[in-house]
Amino acid sequence: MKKFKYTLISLFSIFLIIACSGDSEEEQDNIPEFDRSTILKNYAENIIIPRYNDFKTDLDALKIAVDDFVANPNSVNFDKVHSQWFNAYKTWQHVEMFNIGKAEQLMYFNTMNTYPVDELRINDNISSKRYELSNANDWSSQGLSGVDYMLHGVGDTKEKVIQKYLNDSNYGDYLKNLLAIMTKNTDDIVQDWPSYKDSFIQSSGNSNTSALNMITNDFVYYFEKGLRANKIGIPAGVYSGGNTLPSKVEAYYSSKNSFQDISKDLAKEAVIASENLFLGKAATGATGPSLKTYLDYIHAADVNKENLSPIIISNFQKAKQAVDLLDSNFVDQINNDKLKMLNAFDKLQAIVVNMKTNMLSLLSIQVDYIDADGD
Amino acid sequence: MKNYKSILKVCLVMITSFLFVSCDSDNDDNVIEVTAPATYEFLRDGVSTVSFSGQTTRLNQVDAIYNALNSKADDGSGAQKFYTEAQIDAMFADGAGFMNAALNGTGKKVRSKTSAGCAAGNSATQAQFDDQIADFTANVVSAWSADASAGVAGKLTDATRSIHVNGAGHEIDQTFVKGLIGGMCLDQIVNNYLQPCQLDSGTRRDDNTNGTLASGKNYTDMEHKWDEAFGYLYGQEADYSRADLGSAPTGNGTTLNKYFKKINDSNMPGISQTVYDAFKLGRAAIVAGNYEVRDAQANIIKINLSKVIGYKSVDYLNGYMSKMAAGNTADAFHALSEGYGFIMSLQFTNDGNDNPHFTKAEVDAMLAKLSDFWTVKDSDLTSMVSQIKSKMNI
Repeated sequence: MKKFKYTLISLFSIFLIIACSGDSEEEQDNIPEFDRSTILKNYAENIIIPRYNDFKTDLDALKIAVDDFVANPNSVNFDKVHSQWFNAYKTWQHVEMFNIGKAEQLMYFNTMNTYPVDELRINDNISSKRYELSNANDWSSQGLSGVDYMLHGVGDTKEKVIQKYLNDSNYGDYLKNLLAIMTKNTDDIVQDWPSYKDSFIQSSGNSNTSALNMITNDFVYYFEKGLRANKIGIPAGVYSGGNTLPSKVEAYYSSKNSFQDISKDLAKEAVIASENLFLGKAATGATGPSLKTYLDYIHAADVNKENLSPIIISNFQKAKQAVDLLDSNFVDQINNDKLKMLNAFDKLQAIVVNMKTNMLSLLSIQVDYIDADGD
Repeated sequence: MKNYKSILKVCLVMITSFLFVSCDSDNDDNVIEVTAPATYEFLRDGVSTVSFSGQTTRLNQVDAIYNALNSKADDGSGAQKFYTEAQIDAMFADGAGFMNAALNGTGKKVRSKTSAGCAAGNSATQAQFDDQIADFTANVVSAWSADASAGVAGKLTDATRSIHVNGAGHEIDQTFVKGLIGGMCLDQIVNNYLQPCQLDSGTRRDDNTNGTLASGKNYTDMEHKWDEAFGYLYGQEADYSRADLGSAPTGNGTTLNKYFKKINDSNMPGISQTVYDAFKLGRAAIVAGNYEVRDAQANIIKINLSKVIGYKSVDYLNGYMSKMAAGNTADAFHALSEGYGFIMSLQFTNDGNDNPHFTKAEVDAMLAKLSDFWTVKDSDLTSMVSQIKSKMNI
């Protein structure tokens, strides 16, 4: 029985080998090999570095506003901090996905935007004057999400928040400390990129440690986890058996206490940032070599390979429309009609499938992360 | 490639049919024919005789305890709630004190069905679960916001997750519930309800053969015992009689069905159909009074469900090592906590000859090597992995 089976298998395998080798020969046209480093060059010079510089500018402006507010906690200064925080949070959406180089070493995005905030921890830190926040347990008590809590969560109205800062200098000290950490890390990354850039661009090979593979994996991982799951899926209850968790939306306190509904703006910005990276589009609107052009090249070189980029581009259109349909207050949206959130999740999920499964396979890039098994 | 597969399949089917044909002559003529129905629905005078509400209750109780062991409200709302040892003990041992009133005072209790199979129960193992509850409430709850480190209970965070651990790095909701997957669900199925000491106890076999019903019920005791085994696997399915229950388990809940589905989706595609078909045919055999077919199906279930435990033990031990290598300590400890529970569960496996793949002594020896996650040795884990793989033929 066994022998018979193996004979069959080997017979068929021989057929297969013969059949397969015939196929591939015909496709060898004289198309030059795709230069993967052109993608890295465009990404580094026209997207990553300028976007980091923009973020640094907005974060520095937030720091100044925080200093003024802490020195003089009043309504005018509060409004300035709030609006600078919002600006910086939006600009942040364009850099969160670049978890590479110095940023990766510093666990930058974990320290900048882990939410929900750990209220117990942050309150304990404030009262015990704890400013050394390098333990990973403190990721959820700092960053832009931490500032959200410090501005919109320590009291449920502007007046009450201002009163906290007037009554207890620990609040101001803690807030200033958060900005000190954020600006220090951001400066380190911004300063590192000019020297890191060359090795980044040259690292265009196809291995798990090459820059193109890593940045592509970072991008897909960010899209799956940071965007799809964190901003939409988790609060909408996708991972909790349908039980919604509105307190897990990004910028929760600003929405919850009716300062300003910004979760949707942040989500929209994040989808645009992701689309821009896919298209190789800079803040100026100029486009250059990208994952899209790489996919186009692969299809042009072998028409039997799927023409994937038009599909992904259309997926992005649908995702943007689905996010547009949402209430600007995600807490309300989840509580009143979570189906719209779930619809947005589905549209983002379509992009995840096309990028993570189909794109990475067409580009022969191995996925370098494992899905959490959800428990 | 596909073509080749289907040709091979055809060949296999042909060979298999040859086998069937050649076996046919062996059978006696007076064997009672058993035909499995399309779904797991069995009627007497038009009324369903399938009943396993007690199993559903216990599985729901375990889900609630799982939340309590993570300081979350046991009604599943996700709200933070800290429990005392007495409160969790009451839920575990007395079936009392649940926020969902439907789980209280039903007479259904998890602890009394833990390591309590009629084939081989063990009260020392029950006590290991009690100890975990005590450890959690005494050491983990009190350090809920502290930073964990070697020998220090508290919270541990990495880029993938935050967990709350005891001083040895054990995440107790995981060790406990993964332990119950073997200690209650699997044990109750393979070492209790599918065993002659339940199915044939007292006059149950004669009663079943003669159609004598349990008092006040429309099923025989034997039918009901089989359904109770079924319930420990499928008790949280919304509709046990749906046609695709075999091909598409939902994985509902936190216990055996969840991992049964995962293994069906990964290591053993088709296991869910195999087990389901065996449950269905075995139940039909009971209705028909054919106990050989019944016991043959019981063996299929024992062997296959045991493999779920084996695969998950191996997965989580390997997962720990790869996650540590990636620098994610919390995720790694989480995985090893799951592994710890699944290894506890190994003593409740059944190899089809009513022996566990690992004895309690062997399991306790493995657990001893996992007693402190901060100092656990990869070489120990690697040798456990190969031991489990070779003993369980996976």
